[in-house]
Amino acid sequence: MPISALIITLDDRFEHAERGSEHVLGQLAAREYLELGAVSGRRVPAVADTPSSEAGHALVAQLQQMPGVLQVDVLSIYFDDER
Amino acid sequence: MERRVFLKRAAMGAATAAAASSTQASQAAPPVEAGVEWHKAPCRFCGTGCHVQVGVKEQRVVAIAGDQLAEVNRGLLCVKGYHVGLALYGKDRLTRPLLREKGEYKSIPWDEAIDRIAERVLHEPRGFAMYGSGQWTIPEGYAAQKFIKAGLANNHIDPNARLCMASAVTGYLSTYGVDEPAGCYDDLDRCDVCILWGNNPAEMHPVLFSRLIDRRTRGEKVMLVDIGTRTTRSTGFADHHLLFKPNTDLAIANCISQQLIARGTYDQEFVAKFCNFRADSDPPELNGKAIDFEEFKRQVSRYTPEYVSELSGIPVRQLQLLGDLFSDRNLRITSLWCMGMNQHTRGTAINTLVHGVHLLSGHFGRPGDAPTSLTGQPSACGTVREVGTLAHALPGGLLLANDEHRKLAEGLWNLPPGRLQKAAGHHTVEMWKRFCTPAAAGGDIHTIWVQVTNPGQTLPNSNALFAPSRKLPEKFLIVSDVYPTATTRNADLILPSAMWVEKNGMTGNSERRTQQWFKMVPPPGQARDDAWQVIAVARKLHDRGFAGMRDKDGQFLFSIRRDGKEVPIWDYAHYYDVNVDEHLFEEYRKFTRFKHKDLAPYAEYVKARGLRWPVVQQPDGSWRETKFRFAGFDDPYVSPGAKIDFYHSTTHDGRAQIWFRPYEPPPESPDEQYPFWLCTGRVLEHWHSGTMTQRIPQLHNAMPGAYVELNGEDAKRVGIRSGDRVRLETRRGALELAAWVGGRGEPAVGHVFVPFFDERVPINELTLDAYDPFSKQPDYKKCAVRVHKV
Repeated sequence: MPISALIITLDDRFEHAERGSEHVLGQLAAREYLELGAVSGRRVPAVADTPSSEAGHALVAQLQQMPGVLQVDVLSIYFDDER
Repeated sequence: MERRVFLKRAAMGAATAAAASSTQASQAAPPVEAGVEWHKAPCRFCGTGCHVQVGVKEQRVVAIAGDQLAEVNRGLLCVKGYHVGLALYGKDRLTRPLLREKGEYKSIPWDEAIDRIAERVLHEPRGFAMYGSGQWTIPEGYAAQKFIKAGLANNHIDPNARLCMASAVTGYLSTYGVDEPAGCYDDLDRCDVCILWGNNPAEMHPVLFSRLIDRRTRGEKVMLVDIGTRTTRSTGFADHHLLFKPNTDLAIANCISQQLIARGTYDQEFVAKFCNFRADSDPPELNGKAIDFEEFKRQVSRYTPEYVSELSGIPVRQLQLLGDLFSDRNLRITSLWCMGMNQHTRGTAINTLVHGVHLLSGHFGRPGDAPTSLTGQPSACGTVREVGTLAHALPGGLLLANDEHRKLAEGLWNLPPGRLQKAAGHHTVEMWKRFCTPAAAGGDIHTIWVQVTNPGQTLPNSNALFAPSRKLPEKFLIVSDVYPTATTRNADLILPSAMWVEKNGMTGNSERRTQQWFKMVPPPGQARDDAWQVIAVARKLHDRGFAGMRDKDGQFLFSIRRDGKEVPIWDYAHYYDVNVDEHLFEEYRKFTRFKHKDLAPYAEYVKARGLRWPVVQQPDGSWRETKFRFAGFDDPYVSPGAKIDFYHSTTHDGRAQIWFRPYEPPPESPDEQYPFWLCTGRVLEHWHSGTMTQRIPQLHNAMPGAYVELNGEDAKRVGIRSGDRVRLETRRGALELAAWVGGRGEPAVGHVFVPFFDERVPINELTLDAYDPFSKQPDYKKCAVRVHKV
């Protein structure tokens, strides 16, 4: 059950301008396995606590595709608990 | 604490620190060195509007760094930008007013210089003109405009930007009803395809070009299509190079429209909702006449790829490629152009046609889908186009010919009704023609005051438009500049000017971004701000009882009060007692709401690396810029609920105009006597007429002199090799210069190219002064020349 430190960079480009970053943050906050930290500019620190590495990879891939998200950077993964 | 909780908190701590530190890294200050203070400013050179950090020590500019906080350039500069600080320190800066008497220049005090200018005005105010510049700061241009239009009431003020972007203006006006691009530089970050229409941004707007091409290094697919008459450094990055015969760009644009209609791939919904169709009227007027879609379809129908291939020399498959690209709504297409389309005797036409292709195909209104004219000067947009330092214009996009607009301006300037004249003043070519014509023969301009530009080197056909005035004793040429130039050497009165960070300033770049800086270092000797020079003359006239320099309440036109008392800003010792720039800007700003070109308060520009207008105040008091005009998702002036709204539509129905205009050949083409095409332009290392960059050793050494660029086949045929001395001759003039074959660019067979930066190679003695009928902009890109080895 790896724990990943992420930085999610929000996309302020047009498709999302009408909704604003609040909407995107709301969607992120509602994601399972994901906890958000204090936003810094367009960067959102987050922690993903997923049942497996595969689930962690899938979560990052889904976040990358999310409207309103420009980029997801993985800073670190703690995977000691994985067998 | 459980271990997992600890790990999660540690992960969040790391992510939070990284998010905050990466944000702070982008705000990092330039390197710290003892005694060096850093301040922001836009670069002095081109219309890109890169921001620099200027390092100042002991009242000198000692360093330049790219400004990482700037959205335009993100810390990057081009070779000129990195050396911009050196532009202030050429050995021969003008430092004293100089009056020519009996062929010699003698130094005179400023008071006498100001008196002399006032005398020239009083001689006949209607014959006193100003020739200004897209390098004027916004406050400078505003002061000059108010001086001439409100003060002298003669409208004879026109800028050198008439020679570089006037056709872009008329193109925007006749398409959208209002000037300047709808999009911005963000389009370059989003487009899938970028089409260059006769421009060479790799050399002319290198930072913008890098922004586009760098996307490829990140794995993005960006197609570049280079449509031009020569091979340039930009071509080297292009996926497709379409080499066309001069003037056939008109046919190429029509060919794209023809294909969109023939294939049924034009955006029917976009056209039905947001566009009308126009064609030229008889007699010709800027807004032409209405036609319907069927008429438009009929007119473009003959511009098939086969026909246009015959006309232009471009292979059919390449023309079909353009049709393919514009037919694909999944692609985002940005068209970029500059002098190739604007310095064109059919410049208004080609501008409207390229806008029309984007409108017809629906490639408009999304980031990345944009037709955008770039400008060459740092404030051709901010000063000339927005402040309105053109012979027919008023600030904020208002027009002298419009009775309501004049009334508005008279109200804002507190002028007596009727002070502003309806008739346009002389545009650039006409102004200089009349200055070169004896008064007895109708030459009604007796004095031209030139500021921040070099017409002696840059006017087309200068043997006709500049030189003759110097033989007419009744004509008087005043030049405010920073260095000796081809113009100052012919001046009757030379005034030394402060330059760039030697004064407060504001400029507006190609993407509607208004930028500000504060004075950082003193100007040399007795050099003074151009705006001060105008205000000082205005005050002299006021003191001598010239009614034009008073408003309707008898107040001085440039009055600034502090604590109820007038500040004597016309006395240079007191010019910086207040921020004159701020006062002029806040007065000018009131004009900008009328055409939705809203500017924020001066203080907002002090804080920002520029803001793109319209800048609109939000409920929380903050100021929000607009990146994409006419698009509902971003432009606050779009009607609620509308996806697109051309709210200044010339047909008053929220629609833009798609024009049909036919191909026409250029006014002068090669023939037996003059068998080559001559094109002129610029190079990376030098900016405009080279008066600043030629004095920067690194730039001068990189490109020491002008040359004539020939195609290899032509060179072989006429027996010319690189370095050979060559004579160029047109119907207007001749000169000799060195040839460069196989250099950084190559003209098409039958063409030659000469850059205009070198005063020793006055190529504009050879160029044509024919101009576009609407914009009055001359064509520097095509005339007939003969070439001989000396």
